[in-house]
Amino acid sequence: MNEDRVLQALKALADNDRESEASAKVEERVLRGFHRHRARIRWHWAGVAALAAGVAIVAVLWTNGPRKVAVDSASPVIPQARKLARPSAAPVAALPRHAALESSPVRRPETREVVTDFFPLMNPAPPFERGQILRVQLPAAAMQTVGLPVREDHLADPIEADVVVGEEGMPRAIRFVRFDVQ
Amino acid sequence: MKTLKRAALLIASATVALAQQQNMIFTTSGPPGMPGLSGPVGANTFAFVSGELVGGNPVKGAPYSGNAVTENVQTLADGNRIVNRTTAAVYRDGEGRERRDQSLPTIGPFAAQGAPPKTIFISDPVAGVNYSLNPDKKIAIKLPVPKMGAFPPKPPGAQADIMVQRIGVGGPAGVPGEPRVMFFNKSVIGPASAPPTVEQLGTKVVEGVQAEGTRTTITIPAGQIGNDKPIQIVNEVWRSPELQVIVQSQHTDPRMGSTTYSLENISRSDPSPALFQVPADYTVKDSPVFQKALPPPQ
Repeated sequence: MNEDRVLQALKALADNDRESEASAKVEERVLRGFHRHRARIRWHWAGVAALAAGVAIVAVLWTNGPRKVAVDSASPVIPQARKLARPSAAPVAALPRHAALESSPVRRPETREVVTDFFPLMNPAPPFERGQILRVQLPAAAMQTVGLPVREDHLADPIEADVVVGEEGMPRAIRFVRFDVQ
Repeated sequence: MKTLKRAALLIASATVALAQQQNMIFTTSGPPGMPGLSGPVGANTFAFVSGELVGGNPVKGAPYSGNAVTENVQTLADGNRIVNRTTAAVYRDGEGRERRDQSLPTIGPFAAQGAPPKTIFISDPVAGVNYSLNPDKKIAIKLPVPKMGAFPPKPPGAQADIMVQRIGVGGPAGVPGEPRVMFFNKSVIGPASAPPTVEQLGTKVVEGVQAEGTRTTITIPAGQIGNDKPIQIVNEVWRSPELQVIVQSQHTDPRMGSTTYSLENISRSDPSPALFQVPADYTVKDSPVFQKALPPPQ
């Protein structure tokens, strides 16, 4: 049987059935099945898209981790900032997912301490031989006490500082600290 | 199709939001590894984070304990007075370990937020560690012992120096490495004035210990800082050569008021060894270690 004869037979059959029509019940069942199928395809692709997005989000979080920066707003006014490395031990402890990466070559974010010079709180000050260094949190307005400029809308922002106090209890100097993620 | 578009849009928005969160700034967080402090901070108030004892070489063979009392009195132009008093219990054993228990209602111009924080600092040069204890939270922050460094030459006009070296650990957190040194350094430059006058006051017994006195007077000449008359800043210190601590001092600066200090109820017996150990019910946390050395002071 060649192909032309098959086509002719099918055409004749189609012409013969042209006036025929499926019952309303059958048509309804076919349409319902068609819609169900389309809906299934829709949800299938939505699921694939959601899965892909989820994988992307996990990958972003895994590689970068959250960045915690204290009082970044004050950073523009810290002069001659010195960068001191601060280990990321605490963030790692807080986020166990990073623990698995400790031996991997992926670079972990490094929190650094950025400090100003010490500014005198007494001038002139008696000699300092021993005492304490106190790490405190202050309003950024405290920076103005040593002449550092602070934007008006950031005066109440908390900022950390180290205060050097002599053994006789007199505060000698202060420096300001912020934390930065590299 | 609309549903698919909405879902895609939602997911894209969430992804962008999360990506942006990577650079989010937390302005009220405490530093990693230290007891977090958050919330609004009132003007001129402080919240204590941590602290440590610094300075001087360990003094061995001269144990003592006592109460350190500091009082600052400032008299305002209208006669009003501002009086702040801080007390601390101080201890040192025969090996040079030190401990200081204190409450901190004020630190210089800053007052404590709410109730004054109670702090305990332990310096153990034998073990090479310092601890900052938080009695309320039962947390002990462990730090490497900082040491005083050799003072660099004073710049012209310098009145005092503050320099503390911290011996840290190199390399990433928790990885042993070469000891590094960090300098806290500040030369406090006083106003150009005549050299300070230093008087030796002889010796006297303070709280049962022999002390040597020195009075240093710095004069800011008239007109130096807009002052009509000369301003005299007097610092009188009585130091015990045996204990190598200040037992009494008075600092008077008309611009800032008068600060008196006295070491009271001095006992020469060796304090209990338990005082220099972290209590068993405390959680010890490693402090973030400074990894990168600063250049030495010029």
